[in-house]
Amino acid sequence: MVGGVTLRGISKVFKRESSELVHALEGIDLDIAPGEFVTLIGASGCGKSTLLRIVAGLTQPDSGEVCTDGEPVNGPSPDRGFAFQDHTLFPWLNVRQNVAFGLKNQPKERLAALSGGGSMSSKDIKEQISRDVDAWIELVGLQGFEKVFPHELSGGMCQRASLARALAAHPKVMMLDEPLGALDAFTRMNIQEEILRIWQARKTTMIMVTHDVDEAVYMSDRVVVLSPRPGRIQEIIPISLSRPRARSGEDFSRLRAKILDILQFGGLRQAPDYYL
Amino acid sequence: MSILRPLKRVFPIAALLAALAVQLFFPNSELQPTTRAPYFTYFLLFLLALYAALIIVSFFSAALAKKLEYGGWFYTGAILFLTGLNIFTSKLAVPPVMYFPSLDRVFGALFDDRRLLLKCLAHSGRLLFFGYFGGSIVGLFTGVGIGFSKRLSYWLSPVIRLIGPIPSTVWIPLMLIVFPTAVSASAFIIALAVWFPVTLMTSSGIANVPQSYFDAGSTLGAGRFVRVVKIGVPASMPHIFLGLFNGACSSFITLITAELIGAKYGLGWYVNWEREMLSYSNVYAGLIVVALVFFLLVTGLFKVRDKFLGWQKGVIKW
Repeated sequence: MVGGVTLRGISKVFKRESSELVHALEGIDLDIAPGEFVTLIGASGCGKSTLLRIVAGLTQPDSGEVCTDGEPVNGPSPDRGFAFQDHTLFPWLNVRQNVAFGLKNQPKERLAALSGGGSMSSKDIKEQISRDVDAWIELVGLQGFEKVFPHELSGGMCQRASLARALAAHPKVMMLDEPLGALDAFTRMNIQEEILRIWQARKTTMIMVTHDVDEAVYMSDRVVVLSPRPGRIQEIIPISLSRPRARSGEDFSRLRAKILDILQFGGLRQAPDYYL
Repeated sequence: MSILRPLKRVFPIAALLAALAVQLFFPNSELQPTTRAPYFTYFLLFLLALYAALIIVSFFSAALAKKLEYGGWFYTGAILFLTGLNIFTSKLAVPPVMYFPSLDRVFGALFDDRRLLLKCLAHSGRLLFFGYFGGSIVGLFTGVGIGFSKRLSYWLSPVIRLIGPIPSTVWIPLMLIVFPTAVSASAFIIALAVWFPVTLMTSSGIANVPQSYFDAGSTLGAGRFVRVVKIGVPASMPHIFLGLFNGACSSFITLITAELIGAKYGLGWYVNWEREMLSYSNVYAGLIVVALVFFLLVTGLFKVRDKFLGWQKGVIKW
């Protein structure tokens, strides 16, 4: 099994333009097992996205170390895929070319190793890529849209294509930075199912950032609650519900209530003594 | 409107017939020197035949029919304008005939001087080709270099800001000394005129590429070279095309100016020389060729843009 992630003492400070210091993250220690689905949740500004970017190697921490499978992270790598909040599909490429981008542009040795052996000719690799891309497009339900450019697709379809693009590059760990945040509720639930299906088939480690407590409980093995400024791990809640899960039920509601409680949204809140 | 639509296709024919009637039944002013043949009449007949053929084809091609309907008013207007000009100059000779020759004389010059004009066209075409492509390619590379390398940007940006805005024709005296031939000097000056807008727009295009594209690329395994060539350059293509377009315009200006000095042939040289000869019908003939050539080049550039930038429909407009 590959795709284990270890975070040790991760801290990150940002300097505002007023040279005021913002402690985005402070002393984050976390171990993520290979194949685990972990969700980071917390109020906005608690550094969830920054943490995800640090794991991906897109942002350098001020102190601490990230390792994947024992290897320290020094920069971005195709081993650590990333699905962004905006779909970031390349507008000059059609769906098929977008999905194929990672496979076509990563180091050839990695591809050959992934397809089981270094003896593949470049023609074999090409055919393998083509088959992979078709499979991914089918898996996210975009058959028939291969030749379509991103600006002609709906938001949900773009996010699907973006997920296919990230997953097609064979990451060992997949980072999901609220990729479903901008979608309507129904599209959102559909894509959640797809992500779970892919995760169960591929056993890729998933680290997801979300604001949606339901989404966190429904999808994760563990939910990591972060407290804001400085961003620290407040509590880690294991979700031991059996899969496939229902989006309701007593256990589900109890876990949901517990997380909301930690986030201080639990119970009846006192009405504010001012009116808008 | 529904009755007007198919009619729009036929209006230019009516306008052409009217233009022919004016040309044939309204004698030229006696002040205008006569020509060997009624060249403008020939031109109108040629247009009539061409347009009639297009109309016949348009019955079989819906696309062409649509184009002709769309252009119908414009073609009609253009023909009527030409007829107005014909009456004003050839027929009534209102402005001095020396500077405003009859259309028969202008089209006559175009026909009689065709060999020299073709030679000039070839000469200018060669200058434009080497100057434009040389300048664009170097501009593309400098633009990409400045866009991606902090060090190159540090050294080159001030130089570009210093040299770029100088009209490149100012360099003519220096270049005539530096380069062995007038042709190479002119080509270099044209290249310089193209290089500046292409460099500027390319580097600003790259500076405007959202960081998220590069982030996405690097998490997909793209190295620095791939990020430059497969993300930075295509993402800034809309800007680069603006640069190529501006470059084309300044290359035309520079071409015509550069040919005024030290050139033996060329469209700019032709127009200037004929002006000195006080042969204004040839001046206009030269201008017609210049306008046609530049029109075709710009149209070609737009076609290339539409082919390469189909993806930006709904993303960027210009």
